[in-house]
Amino acid sequence: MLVNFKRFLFLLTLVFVLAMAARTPVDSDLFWHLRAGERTLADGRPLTVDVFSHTRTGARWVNHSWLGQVTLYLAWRAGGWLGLSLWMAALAAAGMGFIYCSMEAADWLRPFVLLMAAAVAAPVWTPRPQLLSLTLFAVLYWYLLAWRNNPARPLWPLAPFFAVWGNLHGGYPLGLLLIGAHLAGALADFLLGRDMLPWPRWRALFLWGALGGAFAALNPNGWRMWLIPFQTVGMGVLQEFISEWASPDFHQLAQQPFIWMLLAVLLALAFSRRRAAGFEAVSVALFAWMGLTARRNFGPFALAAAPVLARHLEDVLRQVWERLPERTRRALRAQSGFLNAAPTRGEAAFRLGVVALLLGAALLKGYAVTRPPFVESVLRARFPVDAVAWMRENRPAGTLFNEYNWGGYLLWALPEYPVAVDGRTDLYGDAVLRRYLDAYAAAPGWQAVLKAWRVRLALLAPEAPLGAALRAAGWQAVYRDDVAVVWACPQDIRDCAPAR
Amino acid sequence: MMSYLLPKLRDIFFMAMFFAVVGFGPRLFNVDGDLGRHITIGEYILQRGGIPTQDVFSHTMRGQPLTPHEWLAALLFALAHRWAGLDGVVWLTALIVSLTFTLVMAQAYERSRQILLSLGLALWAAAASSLHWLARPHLWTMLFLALWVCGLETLRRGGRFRWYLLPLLMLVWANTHGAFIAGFVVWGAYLAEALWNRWGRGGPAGRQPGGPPLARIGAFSLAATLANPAGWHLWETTFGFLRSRYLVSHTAEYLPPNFHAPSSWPFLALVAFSLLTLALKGRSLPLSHALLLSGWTAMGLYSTRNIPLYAIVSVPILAGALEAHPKGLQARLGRVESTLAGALWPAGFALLMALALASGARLDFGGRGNVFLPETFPVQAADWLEAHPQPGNVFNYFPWGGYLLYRFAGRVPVFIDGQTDFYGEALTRQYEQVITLADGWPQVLERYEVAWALIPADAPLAAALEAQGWETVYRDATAVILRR
Repeated sequence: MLVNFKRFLFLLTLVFVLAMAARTPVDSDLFWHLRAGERTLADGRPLTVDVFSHTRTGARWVNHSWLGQVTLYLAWRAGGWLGLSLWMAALAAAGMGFIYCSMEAADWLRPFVLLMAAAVAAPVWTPRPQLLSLTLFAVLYWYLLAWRNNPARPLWPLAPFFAVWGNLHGGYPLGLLLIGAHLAGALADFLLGRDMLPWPRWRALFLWGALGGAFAALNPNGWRMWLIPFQTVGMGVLQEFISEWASPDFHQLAQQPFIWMLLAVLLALAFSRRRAAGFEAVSVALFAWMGLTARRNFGPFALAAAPVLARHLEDVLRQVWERLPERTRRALRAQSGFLNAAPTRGEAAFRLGVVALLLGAALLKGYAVTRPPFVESVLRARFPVDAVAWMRENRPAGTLFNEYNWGGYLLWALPEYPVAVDGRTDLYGDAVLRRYLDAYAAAPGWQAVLKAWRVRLALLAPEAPLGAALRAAGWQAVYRDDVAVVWACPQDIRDCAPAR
Repeated sequence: MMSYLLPKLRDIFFMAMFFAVVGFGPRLFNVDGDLGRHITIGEYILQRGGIPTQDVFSHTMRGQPLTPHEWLAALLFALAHRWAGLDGVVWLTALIVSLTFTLVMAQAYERSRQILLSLGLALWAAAASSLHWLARPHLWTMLFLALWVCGLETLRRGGRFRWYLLPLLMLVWANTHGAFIAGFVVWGAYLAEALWNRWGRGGPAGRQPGGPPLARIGAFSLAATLANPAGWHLWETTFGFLRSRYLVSHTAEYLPPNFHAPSSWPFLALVAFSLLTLALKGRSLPLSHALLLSGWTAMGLYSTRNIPLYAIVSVPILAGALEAHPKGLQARLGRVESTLAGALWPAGFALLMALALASGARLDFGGRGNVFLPETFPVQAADWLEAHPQPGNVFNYFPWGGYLLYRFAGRVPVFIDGQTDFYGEALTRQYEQVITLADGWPQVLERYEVAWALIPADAPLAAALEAQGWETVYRDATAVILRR
């Protein structure tokens, strides 16, 4: 029974997800997470003050992902790029595994729905602590469903669960929203006069959920962790200029699975004869809303929608089944006996072999996309690798103004030059980022920003608007390649701040 | 007698919509400059008595075959413009929009029997679609789609409806706007349901006795689309534009909605409401409704210009999903609504608005009147050009092409205007090359023998042209005119 068809499909699906998620672990934010994780381990305590930038140096940094950064760094230290890639793939597959177990649908249908959800979530499977949030979201989804179905299952684990989540990543409010969806769904069921769990159980969920939210503050940032979601969502710059916070662009192929899954959910809900539970309705609507306002929420939508889609799609397919001629149905039934039959020893060995083979292929893929020359080529395409090498060799003097997307890479590869900005948007806030963006766009007053920040060096993409303005102002391109230009302010230009 | 003196709630809704659209009058044609081109084409038809099938409005594409897929809408805009200028265009636009959403409300009421719910949903649909209320031919698609859905749904329910009206509607639609294809998308959903119900053991008893003559409607409608000045090229033109990824990605209305902009929030809320309604409803929807709701949601998310069509199709379906026996206030209002017959109210109101606009009253909320705004279009520069005509070919800012055609009645052939499906990818790329100063931009101007340029005052191209020795002959806060 170890590899009956049900388990075989489960393992096969997880290995597929693992293969999908085993990617080159390169992301603009990865590097500052690695550097912070390294620093935390070296200091023996979480890093809660900025030591990487010159615009916010010494300022308090609510480092909501300190423990997640440590896990990333440990994976990197243990296995290099391959270790990092496998850690990310394992997290993605684990999350999907919990969602698979949450689906109440036919065994043969679940893999299809899960792979669809995986395609939706794939764009957010990036090597960052937010992937931990996605996995924990899936765990919570599964646990709450199990709690609904089993009154004996306790809710106290929510408190330590949120305490751990609050240290791993600032995305713990996703869990609170999921609990809120269950409570709101219960209210909807009550208002519509449907069967529902007894009120004391909902009261318990509310109380343990609230306690979980309180426990999220048990971390080095204390109560400030509660403010993180509001501060992040309230940042105008974030929503205007950072792509993961933007509305989806469905003309991009990688983002289209979301629209297809939403279409499938709508179609299944509309045509299904089953009535969804209140929490299913609220969670799908809520996380679809969030996914449509910010791409980074594709993941929670995919996870919350998959079980709902599976349950209702099953009924839609049942309607198709009911319309098939009796003869066809008999024939199909006769052919599908293996779905529930106990496997013979040979079948079990064959299935295990298939899983092992695919697992090997997934690992091989992970190895292929993390070989140093391959990672190097990816890095060269996205980051100023050669410009950084030139700067390390020539040591031009001055404070640096850098491309936003390169900030993380620079504080990893060129730590001797503090950055102007990087992906830690909550550290910089609207004020610094708006000044940065004004300067970057060479908007009126850009010189004053550079002067206030005592900038004498700029590392920019060749097409950066500021580059043209710097050239017009007499700055010199001291290094140039296809990816980056290093601009330096000559000593005889008075508009530049003096070098520190 | 009293029943004729009092308006229905539906009539009040029509009048409120009409008033609101007239109030937003200047916005209807100041967001983009396409209206100018449509009025110019309409005027051309009225003056020459023929539909242009070759380009006569640009110097870059002069003489090239033109598919006039919106000629009827252009003619109607030109007639309205002849009657009362831009006030006439605003009045016509208000009429189309109000009729459309009154039809949506009527459909919602027909399916839900909840008068207040229908009113709320129709308002919601109007709010969701308002981001694309522009005085352009696509408004006719909104109205025709509402009529089309109304006809097909009546047939689906076994109601009395003369099926041949739909192919006749398609004949008008195909000559009015290229999105007539939306009608076939909707028709396909109803056909799928008819096939589904006939398949296997057949559908639920009592549904679709005999089924609507969908095959006939489809075939005759398809034939009707060929009755236009361009024949089957009409289909080629419509799909040709959609095939160009470059053009689609460079046309704002074809891009997905930005949900950080408040104008798209009603649509977002409607999508979330759809999910909630479908999940919590007590029964499954007919297949056609399920397909239409999910399909149009996806299309609305893919392209902003589909959002109004989504709202028109989806809101009656959602109302149907919420159908319930009316109680209390809803029931009383429903009874009152059924006894009233004040249809003269909306007609009288529309007439009153027409008289007020024709007499010069400023009914827009801003009080500036229905004019092209000088901060958006080169109004003063065009005044100067009237007094100082410039010889030779012009390079113009893309959004101003339609305004230039309108302002000079086509006497100044433009470099490009908003009709990108005609100008095509090659010329649009060349335009972009110049306006963004990409490599080789001076050669493009040489190739088209451009003698002067009319561009925004703050365009980097202005400084670049000056650096190349061009002379600035006119400048204001909005526009600059340079001569070689």
